[in-house]
Amino acid sequence: MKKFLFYIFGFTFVIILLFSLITFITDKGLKKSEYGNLKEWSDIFNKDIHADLVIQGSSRAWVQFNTYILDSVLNADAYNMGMDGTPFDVQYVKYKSYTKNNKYPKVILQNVDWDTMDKNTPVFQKYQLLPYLNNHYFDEQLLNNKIIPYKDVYFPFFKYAGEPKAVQVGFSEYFGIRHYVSPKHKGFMSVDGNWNESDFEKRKNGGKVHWQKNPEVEKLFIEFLQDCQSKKIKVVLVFTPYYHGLNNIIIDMTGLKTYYRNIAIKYNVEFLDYSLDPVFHDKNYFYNASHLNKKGAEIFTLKLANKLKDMQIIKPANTNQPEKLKDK
Amino acid sequence: MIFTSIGFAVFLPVVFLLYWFATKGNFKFQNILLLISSYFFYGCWDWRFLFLLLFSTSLDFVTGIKIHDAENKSTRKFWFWLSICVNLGFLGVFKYYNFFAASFAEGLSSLGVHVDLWTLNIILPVGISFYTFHGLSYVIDTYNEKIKPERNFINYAVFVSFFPLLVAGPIERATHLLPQIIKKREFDYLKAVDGMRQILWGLFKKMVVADNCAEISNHIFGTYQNQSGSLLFLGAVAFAFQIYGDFSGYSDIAIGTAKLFGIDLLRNFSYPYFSRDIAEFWRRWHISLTSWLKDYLYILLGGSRGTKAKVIRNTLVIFLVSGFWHGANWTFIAWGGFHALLFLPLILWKTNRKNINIVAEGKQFPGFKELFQILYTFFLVTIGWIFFRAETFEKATYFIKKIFSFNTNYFDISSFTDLSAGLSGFTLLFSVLSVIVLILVEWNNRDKSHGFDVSNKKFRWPMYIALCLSIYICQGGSSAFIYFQF
Repeated sequence: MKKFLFYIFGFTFVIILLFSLITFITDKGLKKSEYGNLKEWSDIFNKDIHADLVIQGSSRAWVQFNTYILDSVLNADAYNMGMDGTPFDVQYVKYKSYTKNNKYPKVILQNVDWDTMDKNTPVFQKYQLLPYLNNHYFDEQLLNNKIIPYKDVYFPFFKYAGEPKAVQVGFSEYFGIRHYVSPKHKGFMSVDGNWNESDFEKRKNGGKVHWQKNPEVEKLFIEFLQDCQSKKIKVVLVFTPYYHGLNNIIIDMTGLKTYYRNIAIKYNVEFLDYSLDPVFHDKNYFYNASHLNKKGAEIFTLKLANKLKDMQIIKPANTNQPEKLKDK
Repeated sequence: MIFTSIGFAVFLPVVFLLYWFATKGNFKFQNILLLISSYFFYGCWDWRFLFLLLFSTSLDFVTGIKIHDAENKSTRKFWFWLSICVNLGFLGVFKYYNFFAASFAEGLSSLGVHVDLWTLNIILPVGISFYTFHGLSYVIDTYNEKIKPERNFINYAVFVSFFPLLVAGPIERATHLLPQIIKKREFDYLKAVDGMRQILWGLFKKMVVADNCAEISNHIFGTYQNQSGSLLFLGAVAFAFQIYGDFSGYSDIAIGTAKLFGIDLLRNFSYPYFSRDIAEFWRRWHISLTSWLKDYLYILLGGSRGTKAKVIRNTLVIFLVSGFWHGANWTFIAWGGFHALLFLPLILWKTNRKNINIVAEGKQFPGFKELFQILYTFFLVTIGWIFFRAETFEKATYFIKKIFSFNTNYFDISSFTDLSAGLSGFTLLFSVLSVIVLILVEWNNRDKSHGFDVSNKKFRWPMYIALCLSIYICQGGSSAFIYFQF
């Protein structure tokens, strides 16, 4: 028995040591990396963001809110925190981490749509959260909102189990084999793609779906609005354009917009709906039914920026504000 | 609590240390500890069904004694049938009631009579098919006077609920397991080390092979209408490796865990995908269920003796029951029926025991003929798995028709592109690599009791570490064991 226990403990020790080494290297590498959303997380934790205007949302935020245009029209510093495949629960943790570590923005443009109030289990691209675990405040937010399991926090050597992409990126960066350079500009990614009809047909064939509303996520959204009020951050809910054919796939789109409009009225925030704008009935502005391409995003952001300028949502920092750019 | 969870990684060492140190080698204390641990293990899933387990155990314990002590035949028969009816009754209510109610209502509906039958809105207790069969084997063996009834409730309850086999087998026999439970057990270093190896191999099969293949098969079965025939076949092959990795992996972990406690469980798999015909496949796949059905049903019906009509009937019955045991769905019955059709020619021409030796024994590689036989058998088994995996009979037949309808779009490149877009490259890479490793390692050990019986001392430690690393990095996303639902 002694021999057995000796080997078992010895083997376990070696394995934990090995896993811890992998975790250490991956953590370090990912923190240096610009792959996916990692740069934005690093900017947040390194307290590198001093934005006046922050964009928050899913992929419909990060590919559609052009930060070049927002900066130039509003003469402000905009930063896009959109995250692919992510409903509001993870967005809320990002918001909390942002405000904990950085200067409060003056305005938050919150993208809202059919996925905002849903809950993804397991969380999409979990690896982006992992290098920053062991930050007590961050861990607490993730655990409270059931975004990651306890084992990832309490067994840190095990957090990259089943995350080969994270290990690959982390090791590549750590050993200087490959440096991933972010194609984004302050969080915004321009996608220069064309409409894909077969992709849309497949989505249509997949059947109709109803937009989702998870009560826990909804509660977080209300908490977010109240928190912004207490921090004197203006919030604008933006329903960004989508290809109108989606109205035949997502059931009760009108009800969804009414739902957000009612929230906006109740919590005294602005609600801007660009989904019915006839300009965006043209497929050439989309690369798929829910995402504008580079051209579409430029037109949309310009419209939005001019609207925000008219609303005087951000008080000009200086008087040399550029003229309003001409939108379509 | 499942074997691949962190909870089990804590639970197992704690029970192991208490078992060998706190009980001071007293097997009575060891059995009490095993019983408490097993009930805790089961209760972690849903504590309410502990009462069902306890009732089922108590019933068989009492009826076993009553059958043995009965003074006349009719009393013996009464207790025997009481136990059989109650056991099968529970199984019927929890597992099959909704199926029968829905099928009955559908049948009437096709005759123009519409009825609204009451259905049960309950979840299936995990492992009910397994522990019910444990109990049944005990009662039948007692009735047939193959064993004497166990008069110590703790010992009997450990036989039924021993945690490694409680939820997904292997289906034990009282004649095999009870004698091990009622005697003193000594720690056996070699057995424990072998158990650890088997656990490690089981984890690899489940977490790397099965869980990665599951992502491919789930994707293809989920979007089957948009896929080409070749891709549907790939989905079926992925499922073949998923279910093998999943179930044989579970069995390896269960058998390995039992070895740590000095207990040998029945072998459940013996490299079934190296079988040269369907009969050999059924001697190597889910052995504990096959042998249970053979001993308690097939032989009772007359087995392969008697007229050809009887042999056909018996074969059909055993395969249909096997299918139905897996789940209350026509797809499982079709799966059983499909295998019966493949098996019947072998038994009628008495060639079902042609391949009873180890394939390519003493050779490094199989011969041409053996390789063809292996691939052909695997192909047939894979087609059968489509019934097992599909949610409906219609889906399964559509799937199979498309696989066999060779047309110009059969190797449509766009569906392969969709597959790589729908899944991560790592999933595809790890699935292929892990299946290759699985085949090579198990082929190399096909004459051993389990796939990871490493005899070469030089390779042992590097292989242990390589397996741990691959489990750590390459594990797939899914974690539920398929056989938990049965």
